[in-house]
Amino acid sequence: MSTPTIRNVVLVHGGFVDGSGWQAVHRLLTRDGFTVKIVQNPTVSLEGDVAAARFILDGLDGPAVLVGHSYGGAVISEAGAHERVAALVYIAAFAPDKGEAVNTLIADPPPGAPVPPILPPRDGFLFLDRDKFHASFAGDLPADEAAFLADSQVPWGVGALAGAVTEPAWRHKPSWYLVATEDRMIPPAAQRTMATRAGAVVVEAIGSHAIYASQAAAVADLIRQAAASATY
Amino acid sequence: MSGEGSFAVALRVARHAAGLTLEELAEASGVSVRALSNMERGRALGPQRRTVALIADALKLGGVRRDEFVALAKVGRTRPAYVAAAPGLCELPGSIGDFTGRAAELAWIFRLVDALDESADRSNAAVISGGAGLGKTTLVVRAAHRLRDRFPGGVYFLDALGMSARPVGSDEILARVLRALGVRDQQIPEDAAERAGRYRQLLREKRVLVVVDDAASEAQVRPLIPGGGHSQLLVTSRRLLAGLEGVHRLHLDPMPAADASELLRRILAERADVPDDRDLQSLVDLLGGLPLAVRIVGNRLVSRPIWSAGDLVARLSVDQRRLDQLSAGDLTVGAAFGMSYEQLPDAARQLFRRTALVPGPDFGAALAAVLGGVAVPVAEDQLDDLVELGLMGVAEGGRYRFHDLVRLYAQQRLEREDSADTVIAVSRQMVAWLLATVTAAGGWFGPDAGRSADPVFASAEDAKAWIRIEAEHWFPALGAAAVDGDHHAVVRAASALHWFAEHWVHWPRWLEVFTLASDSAVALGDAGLQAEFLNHIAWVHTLPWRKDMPTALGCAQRALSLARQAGNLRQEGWALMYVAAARRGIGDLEAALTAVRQAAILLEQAGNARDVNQALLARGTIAFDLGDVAEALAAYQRALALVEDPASGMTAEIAEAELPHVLGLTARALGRVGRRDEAVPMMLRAVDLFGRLQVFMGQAAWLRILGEELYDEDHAGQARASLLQAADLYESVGQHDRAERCRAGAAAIEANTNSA
Repeated sequence: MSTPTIRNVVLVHGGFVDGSGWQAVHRLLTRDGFTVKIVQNPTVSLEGDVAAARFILDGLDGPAVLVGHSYGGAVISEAGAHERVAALVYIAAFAPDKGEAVNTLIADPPPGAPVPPILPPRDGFLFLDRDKFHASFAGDLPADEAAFLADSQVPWGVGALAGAVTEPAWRHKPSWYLVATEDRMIPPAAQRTMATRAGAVVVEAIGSHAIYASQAAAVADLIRQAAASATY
Repeated sequence: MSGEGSFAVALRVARHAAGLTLEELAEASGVSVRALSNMERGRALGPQRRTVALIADALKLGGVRRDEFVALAKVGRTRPAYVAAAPGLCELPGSIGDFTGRAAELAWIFRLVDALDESADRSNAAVISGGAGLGKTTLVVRAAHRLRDRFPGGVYFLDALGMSARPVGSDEILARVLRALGVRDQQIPEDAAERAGRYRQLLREKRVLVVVDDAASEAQVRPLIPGGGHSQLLVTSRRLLAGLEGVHRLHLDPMPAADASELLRRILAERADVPDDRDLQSLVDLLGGLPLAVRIVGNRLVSRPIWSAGDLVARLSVDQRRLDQLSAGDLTVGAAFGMSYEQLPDAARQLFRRTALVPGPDFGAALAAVLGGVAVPVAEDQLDDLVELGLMGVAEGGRYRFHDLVRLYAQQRLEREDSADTVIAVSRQMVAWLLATVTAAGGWFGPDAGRSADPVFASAEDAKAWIRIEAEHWFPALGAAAVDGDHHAVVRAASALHWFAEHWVHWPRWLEVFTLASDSAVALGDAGLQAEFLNHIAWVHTLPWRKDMPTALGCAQRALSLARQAGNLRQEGWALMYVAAARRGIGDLEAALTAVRQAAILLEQAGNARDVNQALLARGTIAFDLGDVAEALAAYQRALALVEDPASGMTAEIAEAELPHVLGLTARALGRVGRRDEAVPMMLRAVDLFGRLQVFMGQAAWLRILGEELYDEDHAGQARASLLQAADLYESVGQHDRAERCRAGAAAIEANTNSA
């Protein structure tokens, strides 16, 4: 494999989870010589998460591919304006347009789409029903791994879901989108619509919402291709 | 394949004859009941050789009966040898009998096809991407088989050879699909845009599934994307082909462990003792969800029943650490290949390594024998072993091919185990053999064809099939010999091949072949040879779809002066023939006639009847175009006498092929000078002869002349019938404009008759 022009990859996780889920992707990409940084965004507010991502981007020595999973897609759409960002990669992620927030995007679910088992907010934070976590979030992970994720949930701030994107970076930078075809959190049809709207190169893979962990090879492949194709 | 059925029947008959139940035969042979039962129902695709041997032992088959039994099983494994002109059929490979898993991926593909029915303007192209050994090809082949009924226009499969050194160009892919769709060579447009247009038109009219396997780049497949309609394109590639717009993409991941275990279990169904679940699980974990690796390791266990799964687990875990030279992604498969490779006998290993030197994607046992330094039957046995182990695949026409990862592995072994000098020497042997063989094959189409016994080919048909199928090997060999400085071999081969070129005018490499040969002739300092190849180059430039007349003229004029310098009458004559053809193409008929008259004189002096015939026909045609019908008729009549003279020196085959041309041209000229009574029966004979030779364009052309020029007013009915018949023929070969012209002519005659 020839040395890619872009050697940095920054990974942004979504709601309910933390950055450790990127471990397999990290392993695959570092093995190929990429420098991979994982943003541990607190998911309390969009501004806070964008700041966390910018903090990591500021510390890089060159151009990067910025990757977001799920809610992380909203974060990279906003933080992607950073000068170091050469390409955006959405992994089963929200890709809000100007003025849209995650709330706007989930307001109108397609008819018949499974409803994510989100419990009513407690003190401004959301959790997923632990008993439905495996089936809804991570159907293709082994039961014990899914149970661990369910029990180690990061509370997701309702403020983060309300944070609107000001000027989506996908309007100005090349974007890539991995649709998880078996996703029961964000309906695949909604993913396709957002991806097409963003003008992204769309790739589908058979996988649950936790595709960033269950199909790390597909995710890493897409990031590699984005790094190889983007010009900086 | 009919062979599967007959092995199934033979097995059942033999078992009954031996008085054994399925269970008893399983017991006696060590082959599982399920595997035996699948074989008897013809569901096992070519049982492996050792399995067949075990069954034959258990059935106590000996002598001829045993040989027949083994041979029948082999028919199921490989295809009947020598399917002539195999490239171009775009046949879908067989689906693997024990295909497992990938249910969601199959469903994804089926949904795409369902969507075709809902709306015709949806994107109808999809790219299946993913790393090597993940089973992309197996998946799309499986899907294509399941989708056959949905595509009554046909399912066409093409290997784009994206991972090879020479991926197939998009023009060539289009040509092959068009050919497979029934478009004749002559009707395939030369212009790339027109060719793509014709393809898209056909895909709109029919419901066709086109599968392009292993695409290298966007450019390679972009012209293949259907524009609307109900046809579908499926592409597999290591790459996402992100530059293609409006296509659906599915990225293939490693197989989930459960599916990989199931696959391994199914492959092992042929083994009497099924390994325990723990060993299977460890094995699958080691193989990283790569179906290719699972298959190879599974085959290894089946073919060597002494090894247990536990042994393999132990060795694999050591080897994966040891094979550090392979890149991390390929490590798993490399170790899996090593398992099979290392237990082969030395000679088979040598053949395996060296077949990595074959330039083309697939090859026959004869070429492998040259590389392995063994006799052909020995090579066949070794190749069968490799097939059995999954290290080699079987391609169309009983040929062999590598998976590209296995080929990489073989190359690596070659670099490690053979010295650089050995590799060079073996490569040279291969090149020498290829060029000697293509020279022998080309000889079948020259004037001396069949006069001396050819030790290589039994017939012109064999020679033709070899030249066409092996072009992917002998063509690169020609280049290699030129680089190596073996100019004699290059000019011998090109010279022998030029006769065949007329039988395969649409092959796109003739210009390169003759240019290489011309350069070699320069290197040899042989002006006569140089003239010969320049003439062949001029021929390529005058072909109807190239029609680069100024370039043709330049080549012919250079050939002319070189031939004169060398005192080579025949090449001088041919150079003048091409001067005439080029002049005629430019529109300078007077100069063309002058040149062709000279050419005819020189070629008559040179004394080859076939050459003289061509010169006379060219002279007649140019004179006819100029309005000098008397000179034309004289030339044609001399040509006719020559073709009908058994003592002319022309072979019977050539004379037979030439006769309808010459008769028709003569008849037309006779008609022009008012001798219609003689012309009509002569033309009818020409039409009949073309019909027998199945030259439909020729038949249609002469029927049109009959209708338009030869039948007089008293035979208006025949004239009309001839034109309608011509129209039907033109229609059948896709020449709609010409068909229309003929129908219009027929209608005009009818109108005339009515008004009279």
